[in-house]
Amino acid sequence: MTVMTAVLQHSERVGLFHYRIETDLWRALLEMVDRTVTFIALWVDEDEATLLLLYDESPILLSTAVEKRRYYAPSLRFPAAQWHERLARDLWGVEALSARDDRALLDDGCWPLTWPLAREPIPVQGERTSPDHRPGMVPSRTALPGLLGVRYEVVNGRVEQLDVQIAPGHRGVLSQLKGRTVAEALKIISRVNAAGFVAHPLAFTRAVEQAQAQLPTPRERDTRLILLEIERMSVHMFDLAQSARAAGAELLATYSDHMREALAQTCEEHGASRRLTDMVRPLDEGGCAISEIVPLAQAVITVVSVSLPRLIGLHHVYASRLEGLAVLPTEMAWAYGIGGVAGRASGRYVDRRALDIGMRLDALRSSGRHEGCALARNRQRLAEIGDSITLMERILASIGLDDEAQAYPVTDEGVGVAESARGDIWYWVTLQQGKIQKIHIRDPALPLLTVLGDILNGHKPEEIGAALLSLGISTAGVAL
Amino acid sequence: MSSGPSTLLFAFMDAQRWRPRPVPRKRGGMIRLYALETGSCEGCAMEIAALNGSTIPLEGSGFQLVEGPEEADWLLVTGAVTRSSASDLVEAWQAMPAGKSMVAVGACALDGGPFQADYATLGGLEKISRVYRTIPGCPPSPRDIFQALVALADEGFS
Repeated sequence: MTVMTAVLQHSERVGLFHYRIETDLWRALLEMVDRTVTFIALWVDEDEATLLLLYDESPILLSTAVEKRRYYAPSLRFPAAQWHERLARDLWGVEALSARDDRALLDDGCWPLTWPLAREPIPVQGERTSPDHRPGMVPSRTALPGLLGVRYEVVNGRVEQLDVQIAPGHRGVLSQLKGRTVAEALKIISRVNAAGFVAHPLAFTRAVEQAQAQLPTPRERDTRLILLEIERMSVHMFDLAQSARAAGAELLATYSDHMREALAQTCEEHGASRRLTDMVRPLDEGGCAISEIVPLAQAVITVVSVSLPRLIGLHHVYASRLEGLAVLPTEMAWAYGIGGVAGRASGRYVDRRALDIGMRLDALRSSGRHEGCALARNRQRLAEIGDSITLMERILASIGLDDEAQAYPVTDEGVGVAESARGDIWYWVTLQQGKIQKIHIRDPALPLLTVLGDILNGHKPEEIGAALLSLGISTAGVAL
Repeated sequence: MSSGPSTLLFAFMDAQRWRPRPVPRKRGGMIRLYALETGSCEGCAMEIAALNGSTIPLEGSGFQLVEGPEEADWLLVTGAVTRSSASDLVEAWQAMPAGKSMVAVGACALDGGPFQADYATLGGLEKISRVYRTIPGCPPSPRDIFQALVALADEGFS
C-alpha cells in the first residue's frame, strides 16, 4: 500500500477528485516519500490549504483546514510549493509553518491593502518597501517582454545569490474573477498570459465543463486541439526569434520572425484573430469562435511546412552559440515538476496532451532531450513545431472522430488542464449559481521561476538576458 | 536538411527578399522610442518585440527602439499600470529629455482593458495622466503599431 492510498483511506471525500484530511494526516503526508505522487500546485486561502497532486497520472485535490491563519508548509516535502506559499501569504495572509522561504513575493508595499484577498483586508498607507540595490535588472528593463526583475551579487565576474522579482506584474486577477459569470470571467482569463491566449481559456473552460457536466462535441474538441497547436507553433517561433537575436544569430531570428508573421496573417485570412485571441468560448455560447477550422489548419500546415526545414538548417548553423547556456539539470526538472519545453529539454518528458481526450497519440513523436541548455530547448521547440504539423494532419484526417468520453456528474467543482507551448496550465474552479465562487490558476512559469536563481547563478551578468529569453519565461500567469 | 553554406546562402537570399521597404516620413528626423511594460498579459509588449524584429521597417523609417528612457523621445506604454509599476513610469518619464511624448499602446495602457482599477492596478494611463495619443488594439499588431507611429510622426506629434 502506498502512502497516498493510506491517506485517501483516512480522508473525507468532498468532491469527485477532492479529499479533505485532518492536520495530523497532512503533516504525515509531508513527512513521507511517495514516488507515485507528483506535485502540481498548492492553493491556500483563509479556510483551507489544497494540494493539487497527480496520483497515477490522475489529478487529486487534497485539502486541510487552515487554523489561525496557519498550515504546515508543503514545501517541506515538495520544494516546488515554496512560491505558492509565498503567494498565498501575500494575498490571504496565511502562514506556512516551517516554510523554506517566507519572503514577500507580490506585496512590495505599493498596495493600499495588506492581505487584499482576505475577508478583512487591512488598509495601509501604500509605500514601496526598500528597494534591493544590488546589481541586476529592474523588471521593466530585462530583455523579456514581461515584468521580471533580477538582483544578484557578482563574485569573480559571475552571478551569485540571484533573486527574482515579479511584484510589478500583479494585476489582481484572482480578486477580479470572483463572483463573475463564466462568460465574464473568460474575458479576463483570455488575457492572463499572451503565451496562452488559447491555452489559458481552454484550461479554464475544461474546468468549468467538468464542474457543469458538459462535454464538447468531437468537432469542437478537435477545433480546440488545432487552435492549441497553432498557438504552440507561434509561441515557439517567438521564443526562437528572441533567443536567436540575443545570441547574435540575426538570420535565424529573421526566419523565425517571418514564419510567425506568416502564421498570424494566415489566421487572420481564415477568419481567426492574428494571435488567436478570444477564439475559445464556452459551449453555452456556441464554442470556438471560428466557423471553418479545416481551411485554417490546411493553410497553416502549408505555410509552416514550407519554411520549417530551412529554419532547422539555420538552427544547426548557429547551434554552438546557445550550447551550455542556462542549464536546467534533469533532477531539478523532476524535483520541481517543470514542464513544457524547459522540462522536456531537460529529460522530463511529460506532456499533458497525451491524456487529452481525442488526442492522436502517434503524432507526439519528439521524445525530448536531456542536455537542458538553451540549445536543447530550441531543438525541442523545432521538434515540437514539426509534431504540431503532424498532429494537425492527423486531426484533419479524422476530424470529429467520436470518442468514448463521458461527462461527470454536476458537482460545481472542476479541474482543467491544457498543455500550452510553455507547459501545463491548470485551473481549479468552484461555481455557485453559475458564478465563480473560487478560482485558482497554476501557470507553468511558476516552478521554473522557483529555480531560476539556481539556473542562472554562475553565469556572467551579460549572459542573463539571453538565458532568460532561452527559457521562454513569462511572469504574467504567475504574478496575475 | 543541409546546414552548410547553401542553407546560409538561401536563407540570406530569403531575408533580402523579405526585407520590408522603409516608409518615407513627411517630416522630422530619427525618433527614439522607449517601451515600458506596466502590468498586463504581455501581449502588447510581445508585439513591440516583434515590431523591433525583421518584419517591420522600423529603423529604415526613422524610428529606433532604445534601451533607456534617458535617450528616448517617445515613451510607448503597454499594460494597465499596476501600483507597483507606477513609480517606474514616473521615473521613466522624468528621465526623458525635453520634447518627450507618451503613447498608450493597446487597450490596457489606455484604460486598463480587462483589468479594472483595484488594490493592485490603477487602470491605465487615462486615470493618472493626460494621454497624448493612443494606439488601440488588444493587442495591436506590429504593423498597426508601426503605421500609427508613422501617422503620429507625420502630423508632427511631440
